[in-house]
Amino acid sequence: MDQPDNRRRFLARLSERLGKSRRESAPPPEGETREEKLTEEERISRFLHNLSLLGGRGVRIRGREELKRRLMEDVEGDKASPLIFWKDAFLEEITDDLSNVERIPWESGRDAAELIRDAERAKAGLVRADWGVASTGSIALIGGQGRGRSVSLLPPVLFVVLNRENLLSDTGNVWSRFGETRGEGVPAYIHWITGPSRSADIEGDLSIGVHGPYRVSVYLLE
Amino acid sequence: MRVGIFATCLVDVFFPEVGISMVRVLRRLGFDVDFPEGQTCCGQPAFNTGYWAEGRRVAKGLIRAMESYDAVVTPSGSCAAMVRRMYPRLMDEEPEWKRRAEHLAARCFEFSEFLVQRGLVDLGARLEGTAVYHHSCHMRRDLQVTEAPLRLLAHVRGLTLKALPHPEDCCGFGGTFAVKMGGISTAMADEKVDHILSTGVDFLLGSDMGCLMNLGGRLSRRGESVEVLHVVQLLDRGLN
Amino acid sequence: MNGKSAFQERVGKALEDDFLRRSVRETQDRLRGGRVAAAADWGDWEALRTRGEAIRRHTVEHLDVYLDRFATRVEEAGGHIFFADTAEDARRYILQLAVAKGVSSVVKSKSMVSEEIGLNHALEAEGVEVTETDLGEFIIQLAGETPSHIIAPAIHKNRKQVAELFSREAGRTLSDATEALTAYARRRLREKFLRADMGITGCNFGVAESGSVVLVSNEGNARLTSSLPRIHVVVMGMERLVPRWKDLDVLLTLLTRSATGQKITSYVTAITGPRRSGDADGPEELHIVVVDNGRSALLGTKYQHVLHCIRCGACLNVCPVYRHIGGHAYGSVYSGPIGAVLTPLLNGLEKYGELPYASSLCGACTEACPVRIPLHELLLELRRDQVEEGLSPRVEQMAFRGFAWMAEDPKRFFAAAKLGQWLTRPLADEAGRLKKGMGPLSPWTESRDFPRPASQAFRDWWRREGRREGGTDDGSTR
Repeated sequence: MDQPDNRRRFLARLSERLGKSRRESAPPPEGETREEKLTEEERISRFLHNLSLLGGRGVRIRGREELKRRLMEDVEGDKASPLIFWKDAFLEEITDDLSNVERIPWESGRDAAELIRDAERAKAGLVRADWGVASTGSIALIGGQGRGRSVSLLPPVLFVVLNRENLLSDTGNVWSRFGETRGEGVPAYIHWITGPSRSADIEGDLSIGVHGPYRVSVYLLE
Repeated sequence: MRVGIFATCLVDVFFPEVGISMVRVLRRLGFDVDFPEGQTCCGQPAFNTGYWAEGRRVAKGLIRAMESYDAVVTPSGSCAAMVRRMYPRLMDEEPEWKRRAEHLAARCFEFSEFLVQRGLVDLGARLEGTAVYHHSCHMRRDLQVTEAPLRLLAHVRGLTLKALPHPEDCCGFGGTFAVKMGGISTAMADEKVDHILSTGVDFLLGSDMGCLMNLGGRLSRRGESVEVLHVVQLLDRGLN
Repeated sequence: MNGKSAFQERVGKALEDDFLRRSVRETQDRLRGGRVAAAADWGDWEALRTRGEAIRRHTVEHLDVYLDRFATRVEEAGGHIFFADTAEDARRYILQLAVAKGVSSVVKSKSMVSEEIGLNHALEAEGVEVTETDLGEFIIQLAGETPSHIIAPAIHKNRKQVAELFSREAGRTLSDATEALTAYARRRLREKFLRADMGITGCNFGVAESGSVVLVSNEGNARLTSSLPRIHVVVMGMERLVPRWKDLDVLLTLLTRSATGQKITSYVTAITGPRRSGDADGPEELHIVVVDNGRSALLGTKYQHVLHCIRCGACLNVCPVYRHIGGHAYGSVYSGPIGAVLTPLLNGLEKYGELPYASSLCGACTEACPVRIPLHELLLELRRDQVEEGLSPRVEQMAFRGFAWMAEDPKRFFAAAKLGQWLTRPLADEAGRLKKGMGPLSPWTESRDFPRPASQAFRDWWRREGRREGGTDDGSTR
């Protein structure tokens, strides 16, 4: 079937049923977006609280050195080797000292199948969040070069670094950033992650880690 | 103010004591009440089953009988909701009848709603005992009256009102649903009855004889002795 | 009607299944409790519902415009879009794609519309292996069943049954502990994800302004399905759009809070086009199949509202009928109040005429619906259509004609009441209760006592005493 023709016919049927010509339009209804005026401290405490509600672990970190120390402890505690991470100067630097750990950078130039095998083999993934949201305890990862989807998805443990200045109040603050873009200007993915993977499909009994990570730690870097 | 009593078919035929109590309570409060004998039923059995034409024929009879009163008061949240919310819609294609339906809709009230709107919440009733109140779905959701009966009951001295688990759940009556889907209807009634019994009260109270006939019928079949009363019966009893 | 209908048979079976009823009750209580708490937590929930309703109404009223825009944006981002008039068209497109691309293994994440179009069977008939990856869907796929709840598809299965199914699949005996079963599913399904050539997902929302597809899940299987296989196919009901990202925000909030009471699900994923150059993972191809399958026939009718549904399941979670019979009794993909409305609309009242009557019209569904679809009023409309199209039982038609004839005239009505009073005398017990009824009343009296018409009707009292009593009242009148 000729596809443009199929689309035209389909849409024409809708217009007819709706009793109007297709060009006829109207702006979508407007309304207030909830925007709570929170101080930075309130944002942080709310973020940590909401993250813990969905079983995530959030930690406030002051400075790079503390981050390195804390990461080292957690990598050890979670037996998180091999560790796969997005290849970016910052993440490379903070993982530099993890000498007992097999470190795998996600390098886009490498063979894709091999990268995915590595991510599958890894015990932990490490990424940098683009945004965090206080009202839900979520972090947002935005697609782009070198930011493989598998890193935050396949390993059983996920470490996320979130800069405090990227912590916003509501999800709407993030979505609205994509309003003016189209085509490849819109990132290939926007992934919101809030705590570990969960399911209640067996007798309503909560179980963690059914598909994605069992453990999610967010380092809120101040 | 001339108040027309719309007794409803269930009260008229099966539960006259509810209508009698309502007349007595309203008179005691000084209302000039009348019962026009041209009335029968609001038409819900037909309307709710999909027989709009039949429902409309019955509705017209009720409109004719009741439209000349200043206010129409009924001991049923469900029938009041039918008149107020559905009658105008039922007459959509007959403008003259639609006007008459809207006229009646604007002055038809469920009993407790009628009193509370006039500030009549403490009737001076006294009755010892414990009770739960069952909200009928049509009264709660379609008529949007939930607080009025509770306010009247809160002023009955000696009466302790207990909370019913899942008070928002339907009792399973649903008019013809109770016979078309008898098994489901019974399962719903049973859960409600279990909730009522778990409170250990003396009285089950309500504002719709449909629900109370359903729950009362199940209670008595299960050999339970909770006394089932319409709010107006309890008030009447507490005033004498 | 002679004998029990297939629907009544299923209802009867469900009512006897104590496990099913207990687990549906528990699931309902958990989910509806969560919804109420999440609504309260939000603050002005009614204002949010009003906004959500307005967005859905607007989108459906301009669905042609938004679908057109969505399709253009999908293509600009490098995706393919196909418009399927029927379930058959949708299946054919996906099958042809699978064959053309040499697909032998498919992973799926939960999608009601793919159930609606019977996609799994069609793929399996062509020799393609299809694996459902949502834990609940995986369970029922192994059992050869269909979902019984929109968001909790396997609530009718207990852990022993799950352990048996998984043990059979594993070829060894597994413990029935939740962790053990989940761990097995993770390992087993991970193998499938890594091998699959095609991932098929539904679509919670499509964003018209960007051509994005938004998926929500708690398990993360929608992420895996849309990230690992080389081809990603999205099957979406044609009405699943929102105009803009900011509208999406409103509806996502309504969706997750109404469905499970969560502020957000563990994963929310917005996908725009296939992988970009330089990306090492993500699908090479993205195909979006927009399904009509009877939906457009609802546009411009009194049922257009039903297309506002965002498939949160809130109406199932408050429905007292669903509570006692579960999802399978409805005999269709969509169950509960939304199923009772949607199924006859998509598949005809001839076949599903009983569903609109599977409701006490209590209105709990309408009250819970986050986008305010007047579900119980639509059930009334469907009953009306059924009667006006002459599809209701003849006996019932006669009964209601008789009822109207009597109720139009008080003399006839009360003559009938008196007759009933006289006829039931021999049937009543000493307290005047009927323990056994005749004909249409017997489903009542099977389980409940029924009162006899009073020996003195209210109007008799009024004539004898009531009217006169009023005359002797010496108080002032209000």
